[in-house]
Amino acid sequence: MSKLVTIEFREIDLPAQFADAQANYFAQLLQVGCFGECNATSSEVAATAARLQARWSAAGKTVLLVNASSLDGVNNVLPSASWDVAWVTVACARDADFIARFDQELGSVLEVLEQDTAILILATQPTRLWFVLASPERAFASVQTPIQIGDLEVTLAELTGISTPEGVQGSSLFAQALPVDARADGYSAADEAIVYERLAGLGYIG
Amino acid sequence: MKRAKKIIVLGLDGLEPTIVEALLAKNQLPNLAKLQASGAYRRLGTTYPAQTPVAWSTFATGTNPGAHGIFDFLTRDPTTYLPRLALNHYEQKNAFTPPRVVNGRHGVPVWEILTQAGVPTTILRHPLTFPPDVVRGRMLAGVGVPDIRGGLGSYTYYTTDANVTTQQEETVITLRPDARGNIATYIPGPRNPKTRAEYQFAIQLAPHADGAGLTLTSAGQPKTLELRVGAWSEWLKVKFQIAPLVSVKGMVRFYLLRTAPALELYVSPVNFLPAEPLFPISDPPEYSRELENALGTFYTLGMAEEDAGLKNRRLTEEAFLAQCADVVREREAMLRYELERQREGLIFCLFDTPDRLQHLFWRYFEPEHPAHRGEPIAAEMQRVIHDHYRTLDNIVGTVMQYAGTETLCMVLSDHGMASFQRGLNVNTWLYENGLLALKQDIQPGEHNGDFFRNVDWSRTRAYALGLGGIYLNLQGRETNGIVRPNEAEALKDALCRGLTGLIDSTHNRVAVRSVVTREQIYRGAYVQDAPDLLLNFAPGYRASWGTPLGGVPEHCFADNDKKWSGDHCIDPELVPGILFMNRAFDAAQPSLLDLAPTILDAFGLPKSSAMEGRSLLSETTP
Repeated sequence: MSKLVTIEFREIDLPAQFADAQANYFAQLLQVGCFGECNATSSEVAATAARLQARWSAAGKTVLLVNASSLDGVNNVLPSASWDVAWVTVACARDADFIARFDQELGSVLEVLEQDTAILILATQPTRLWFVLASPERAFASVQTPIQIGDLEVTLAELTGISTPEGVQGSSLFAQALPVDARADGYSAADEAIVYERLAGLGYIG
Repeated sequence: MKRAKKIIVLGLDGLEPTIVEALLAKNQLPNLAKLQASGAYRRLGTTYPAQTPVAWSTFATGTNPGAHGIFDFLTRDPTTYLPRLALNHYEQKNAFTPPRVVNGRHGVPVWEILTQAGVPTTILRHPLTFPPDVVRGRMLAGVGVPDIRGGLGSYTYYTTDANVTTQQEETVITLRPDARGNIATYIPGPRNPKTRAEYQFAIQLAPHADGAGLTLTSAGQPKTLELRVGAWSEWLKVKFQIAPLVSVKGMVRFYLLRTAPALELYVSPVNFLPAEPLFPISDPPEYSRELENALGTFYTLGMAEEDAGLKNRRLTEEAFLAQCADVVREREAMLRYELERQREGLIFCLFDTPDRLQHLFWRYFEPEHPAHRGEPIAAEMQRVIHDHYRTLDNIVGTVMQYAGTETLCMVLSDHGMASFQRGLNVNTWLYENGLLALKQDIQPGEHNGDFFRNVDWSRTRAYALGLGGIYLNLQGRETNGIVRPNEAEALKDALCRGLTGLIDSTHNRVAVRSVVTREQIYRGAYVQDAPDLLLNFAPGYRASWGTPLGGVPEHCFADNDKKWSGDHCIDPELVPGILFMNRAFDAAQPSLLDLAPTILDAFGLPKSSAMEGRSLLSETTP
């Protein structure tokens, strides 16, 4: 069960904006999380968000709603409040530098997140939604085809430890748990593989 | 003239004084001879231990390793006993933030002091400059720059022979041609940081009808690349799609070994693109792009030479030498490019190749070397090292053409080179002397693998890791430490006594000349990161292949039958470097510690308070 911060951008075509942009933080999120497209109108997204927020509150979770004209400064807002779920809605100018600026501002938010916090980035358009969802603990299945908004709702409910709302149809985006191969010594075969990889090419060692 | 307008420092990694002196005596290094005649030549004291990253960090900072924190290529994590690369590491605030590279070298390098003093500085390929320091001038990073997979360089070997076994430091891919002989395969790329899944770049190979080559097609640049047997290909620029919308770019070269009876193809480690590196490799960051635009593309990998391929007997000597020649040519072009526009300030340029080449070709000086494995010794290979010294002498000549009367020229090596015929399995010696214990019913042997796999830490008092260091299993420092702090000195004494003068009874030769404690040789803020003890090996010996990563093989001593047949990880007293300057100096025994103060002095700047040596110029008779 994670804390969750959602950053929702209105009216952004994410892939088009992202093409060839220098965006290190966003690229890292795309690597460790899951990226996909969802067939949903903006009103369906709004309804889902409202329903989730209500259910989080009903489950005793503190929900922080932030409306901002840019992400700038949100890195100060988030650590200053106590919350289980933060939902940040950003209405920003979509100029040519959007992604580069967004990436810097996203970075300042990511750097202040506590270790157990998952992140969801939404970019809404009138009839579809782009999303990136990343969790420090959980892995996601790769998303090849557009999903339904219900899939996202089910996943977010599971991630934050609330039950799935009745009547919502969807399949979780979580992958099967990664195999655990930790040895009694406190490190795993994967750790060993990483050491070998880092040292590969050092002629002196073997 | 005391005050220099320009200083040119040429680093020739691993140049061995006895070879230089012998070739000088035969008039075969005319440019170094001229340099000596205009100034002086001395053997140059190196560091404990005599290793590239340690020694060059001392050159740069003017301090002993205790103050710059680099004690070996390898260090260890006392909480897991796992080896770690000492050169640099990655830090991440959390799983969502991109990794940041952190240089392992501490202290203040001379170029930082020059930058503060407003002196222009160009540093080409100095070890431990990744990530690059910010300089007033330009810096291109050297030893420490990884390949795209994050290691120091891992190549891929492709073969249609399904019976080939994978060796260390390589990826083997078995090729399966279709009915027409065409092959679909891939170049392995980086791994996903979370799932460890490997990203791949698809390539297609089509054999030429005459059997002398292959046509490679891919989505890279160029789209089509012709591979010929026995020749290095041009660079292929490739792109790994690592996430939706995100790709990582790199470049590789191919060496087609043969097409029959089995097809064998060698692919270099995936280098960063000079113009678009995964992490910046230069300062200013666009400098690496400028060099590519001006001179063509070049190896960006910190350790660019394909020595692992030759060591594993995948590449031939000829292929390795051809690639070394390319690396030297590239480096010389960069050096010339900078010399051409130098009006004042410092230029430093390192040639790493002599070190790598001597490691692999030393066996040709020694017909009895186990690496020959009874194979005939090709006469032309016996000339390779001396030829290479003559090539480097020509580069010295180039440098001297650019040196005016107000130029200080310095040519140096960080350490020398010696024979490596026998290895001491240090952990096996510790086992036999009751200081390292294995789990119940486990005996020393290859089955123990690396990483102290079968070591019983609850009964282990000392362990060896790296190229000659021994660590105590110390309470309060190591996770499962059992040596109480008040027992440490007695244990160190016992280890020194037990290992000093250790005889290799098979050959009845002394293998270990002496043992030093870190307190005897280091001082400074980072001494606590050093091994507790250092072994000073005799010539012909080194820590065995099984030692650096924590193996416990069967016997104390083992023949070194690898082509990596020369080494310098022995008693530093026996492997000094060289120092030539075009200014006379009186110091009988200059050391690497003296060179940063000398550079500062030549520009009229005082040495920093941290610097431990003295300017060689201050001793010059006017």
